[in-house]
Amino acid sequence: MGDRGDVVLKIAGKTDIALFVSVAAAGLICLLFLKQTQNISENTEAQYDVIIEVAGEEIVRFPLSENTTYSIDQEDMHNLIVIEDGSVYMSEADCPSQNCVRQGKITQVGVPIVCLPHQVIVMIVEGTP
Amino acid sequence: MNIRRLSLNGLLLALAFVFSYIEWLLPEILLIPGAKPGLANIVIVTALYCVGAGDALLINVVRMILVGFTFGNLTALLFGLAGGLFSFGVMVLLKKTKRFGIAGVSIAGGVCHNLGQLAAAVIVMQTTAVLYYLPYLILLGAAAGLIVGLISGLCVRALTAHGNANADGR
Repeated sequence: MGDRGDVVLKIAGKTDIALFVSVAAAGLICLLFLKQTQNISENTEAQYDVIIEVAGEEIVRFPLSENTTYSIDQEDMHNLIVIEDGSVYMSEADCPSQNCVRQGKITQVGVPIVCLPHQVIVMIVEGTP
Repeated sequence: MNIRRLSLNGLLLALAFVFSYIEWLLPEILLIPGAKPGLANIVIVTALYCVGAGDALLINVVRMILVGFTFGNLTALLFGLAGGLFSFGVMVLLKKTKRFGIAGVSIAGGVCHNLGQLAAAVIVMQTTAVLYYLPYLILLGAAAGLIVGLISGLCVRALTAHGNANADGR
């Protein structure tokens, strides 16, 4: 390197390590914060609801304990959400990426299933008693 | 645009496109639905250092549009542009400060790519529920950016050693 007398490209120095460490630290702090908000209730008495949002508006809410299916049909967009044995999953979606379907079952509070192209979000929240 | 510059840019664009295609073929290996390692960014970061910000931006935008229409859809294209342009802008600024190496520039680019996409998701979905993915996106973005940066660094050194481009980004 530098055999032609050019300025040698700096790949990684102290500032780069510092940047990586601080970004990673920020990510880990966010992660800890997130885990904390997820475990707010340890009591088994708590009720959980499944909320389904379309374009930021909550359109329907089901108790997580009841098995049910819910279909969202907006113009030519279709989503089918299944609540089954305390878990929720997107069973069908006619979006191109299928990320929401492949995500599989969620059982934890706060983890959203997102169908970006259809603006659909499914998540588990603590229910109102 | 002279022939040399035109052919180098065309070559980089084709390479970036192939990387995007390979990535499209790969199964999802990461924690987040839809998360990708960003292989094409090796070309974009290398281009930023070898052909300069203007040409690298051109390659990046054309790549995103081509990939969006070939393998994706309009939503994917818009999210890609939100992440890609924000990330690119931050990388250009960081490079200009001359305080960071290519690894640092790329780490910032990786993280900002994800932040840009997440911001777009919050706006489109009109919900903050997607912020759940923020910590994972920061960590994965930093890791992917680091790897992309190191590989790009080797590429830039190899390219400049053979006199095919300028290390200072002209």
